[in-house]
Amino acid sequence: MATTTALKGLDRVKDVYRNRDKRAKELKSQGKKIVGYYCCYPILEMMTALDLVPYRILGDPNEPIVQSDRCLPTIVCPFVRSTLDLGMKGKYDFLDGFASCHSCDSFDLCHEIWPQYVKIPFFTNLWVPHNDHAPSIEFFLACLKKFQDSLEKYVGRQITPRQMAGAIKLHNEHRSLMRGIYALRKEEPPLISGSELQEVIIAAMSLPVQEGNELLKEVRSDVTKRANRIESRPRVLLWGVEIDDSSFVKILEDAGANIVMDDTCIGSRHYWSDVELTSDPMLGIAKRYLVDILCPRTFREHAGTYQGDLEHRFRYIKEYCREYKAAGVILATMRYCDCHAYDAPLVSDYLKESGIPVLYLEHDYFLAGSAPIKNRVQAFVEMIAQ
Amino acid sequence: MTEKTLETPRQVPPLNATIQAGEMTKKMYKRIHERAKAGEPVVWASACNADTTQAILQAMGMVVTYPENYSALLAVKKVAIPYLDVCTSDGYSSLICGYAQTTLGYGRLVKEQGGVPPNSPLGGMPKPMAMVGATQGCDARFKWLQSQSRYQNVPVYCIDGSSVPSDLTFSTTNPMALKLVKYLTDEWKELVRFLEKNTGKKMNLDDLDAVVDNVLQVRRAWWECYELRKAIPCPMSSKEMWPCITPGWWMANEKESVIFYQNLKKELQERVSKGIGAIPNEKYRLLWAELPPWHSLNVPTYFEKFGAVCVVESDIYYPQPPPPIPDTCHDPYEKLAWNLFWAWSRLNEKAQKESGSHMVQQYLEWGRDYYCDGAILHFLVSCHPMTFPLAHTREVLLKYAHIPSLVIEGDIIDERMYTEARMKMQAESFAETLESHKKIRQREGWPVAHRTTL
Repeated sequence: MATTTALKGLDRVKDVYRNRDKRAKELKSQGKKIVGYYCCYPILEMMTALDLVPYRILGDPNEPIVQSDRCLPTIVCPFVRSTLDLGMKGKYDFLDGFASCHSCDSFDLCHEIWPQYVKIPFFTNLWVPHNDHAPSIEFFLACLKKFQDSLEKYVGRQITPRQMAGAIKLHNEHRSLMRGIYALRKEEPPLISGSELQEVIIAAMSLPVQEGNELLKEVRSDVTKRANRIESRPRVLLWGVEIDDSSFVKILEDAGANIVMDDTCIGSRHYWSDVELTSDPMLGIAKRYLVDILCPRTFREHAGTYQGDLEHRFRYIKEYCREYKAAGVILATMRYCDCHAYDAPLVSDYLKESGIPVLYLEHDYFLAGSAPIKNRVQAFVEMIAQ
Repeated sequence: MTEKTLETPRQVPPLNATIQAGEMTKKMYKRIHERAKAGEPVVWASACNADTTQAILQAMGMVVTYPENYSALLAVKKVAIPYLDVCTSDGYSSLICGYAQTTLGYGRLVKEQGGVPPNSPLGGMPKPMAMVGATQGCDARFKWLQSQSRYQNVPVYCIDGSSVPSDLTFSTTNPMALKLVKYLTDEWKELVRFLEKNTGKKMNLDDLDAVVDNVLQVRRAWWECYELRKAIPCPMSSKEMWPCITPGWWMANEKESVIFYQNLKKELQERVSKGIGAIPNEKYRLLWAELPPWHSLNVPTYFEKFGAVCVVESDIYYPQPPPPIPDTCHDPYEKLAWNLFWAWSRLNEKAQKESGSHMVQQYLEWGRDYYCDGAILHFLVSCHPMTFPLAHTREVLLKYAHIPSLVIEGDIIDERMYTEARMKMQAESFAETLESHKKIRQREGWPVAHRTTL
């Protein structure tokens, strides 16, 4: 795919981050089909295999909501309201398709609302079970087939095994490259800041996977070679929801923290597991998407006791803290996000019992009223620095 | 808000069923405590649409207790707020489900005090041996019981079988439909394995078959009552039906529940034959979407003062027309699965052409079938999935049926979200809206129940 920019690495990240839809519109003018998707669950490999360009739907916490109040109450997920508002304002008019998914209640209901208010030629929906045990995997395979059929019908051809294998390889490479950049934050001080990494992620989600892979290689090269070092500060892991703007992470950094790792929707959850190369690629895809993505929306088989269940469900966060030497964890949930709101006190219980300090913030997605957040983070950072 | 401030005197005697429903609730809790005391296994369960979980739990002899029902009871008795405060003081957001907040608060008190808190209405909820959540309806229904293990420290199971997406229409032959039915039956069989492991009780399929048949009879009898409410004037208002969901939702395994709705049907038939309405001078007919304010079930009375009666309500509780279960289906799990699939998908074909959403389509169909002049859209601070479609509902009702809506903001449990003065003001101005829209609808040839002077 020809690109008209000479920018590379972190410069290209900044350019793409500020003008997310620019490359997508260029590709569209070259005849490519762009398919917007919500959340971590729509199968990117299927889209890539059909030469569709997956484009993650994000909101804008700096843009006041005006239009979507017509069709969504204000007391629902603000991220979803923001994305629909952008759609109704025409900001997603370049999309040829929209792939929603049943990840949580809000995203699920979007598959009903979006077609009513946003003009996009093609809509599809991936039904995702909430359990991850054998019957759910079996059912998910049927859901995957339905999803694939809908994409193939739209494009007018079927995915060949070779195309699927190629797409899986590309996306696995992409995730591996991103994990490589994450690893740069294990250093003290981290070689790349949390807010910079957030921009890298968002830029990568705005490009076709092949271009994303090249970009990540350039970013790694830039970061490892640059002379300026990030200031050494208390190291913090960020847990939470859809953080689709680096400004939120910047607020935490301005308050004195280095965000060295995350467990968020537009973060490690999207990158931490690969599709295993199984004889039937659907099995590998089903396992990766349903079982391996660690999101509160999925119910993991209960361990029988409360403590056992906490260990079973959240041990990986403790391991992240150990691996990335995080001195504390910020739990950042969004108002009206049920899945995270129920888990936050439990994650807090678990981490505190493990000796890891925790700060729980509930924010409303928009950045206008961020001063109280900054104050609380400052106090938290001072505490963990002692 | 107090009942004393609501001025309209009731001229139509209450239905016997509404009184009986209250008695059945008390009896249900009495039995729960007796059986728990006798050592039978107690299971806390999320409600599931179409009574699926309930059928399996009841057939296995579990003492089923529903935190959702108990929360509503606490709200009706206006004693829920302290539990909400305990919940939020223990780290939970004040925006999670009101039912969840109440029972998480209850759970915390039980843990602190080593037992059921004193003065708990109806003796409280006995300690469970296990808990069963469900993904049907909303995420809260499994997340909340998963969270409740913080206080109960017992095994938790989650039944999946999420709401059917609107692109799957009801079919007994579509391969995806067959996959869904199989998935649902597999999930319930896993539930049975979980219960067998954690309680020692075994499932008897004949018992399950009997319970499933009873459930289907209950739902049919209940649905027949809904059909009679299409009559003009409407014989039963929403505020009378809400208490009457108890037999259908919490006791659908009981023969007594079949008889309850059959008796209610007789009462309604008598009213219909005599032209007796729920209110004396019915002038406007309203639908209520979605969940009721349990702390203030008399809210519809504000609208009755100007002749508006809520004739139908709450899609999530609606018993649905009898499901077309395939004749070849004899397995009780499959009967339940077809029932559930039917409940969630039967309007999808119409929804694809009109509203895009099964729930919203239900409101539109009700608007037409019940000759509604307006809709009350109850936006709930703590129930996001039931609130999410309501703004779109307002658009759809206006577009396809020229039915105006009034949005009232409140909550299922937290009465602090209501102010009586605002409610009165909203009701009064809505009366004018109803009248003007009715004239338009009449002039344009839309069906109306009561003609107005043009």
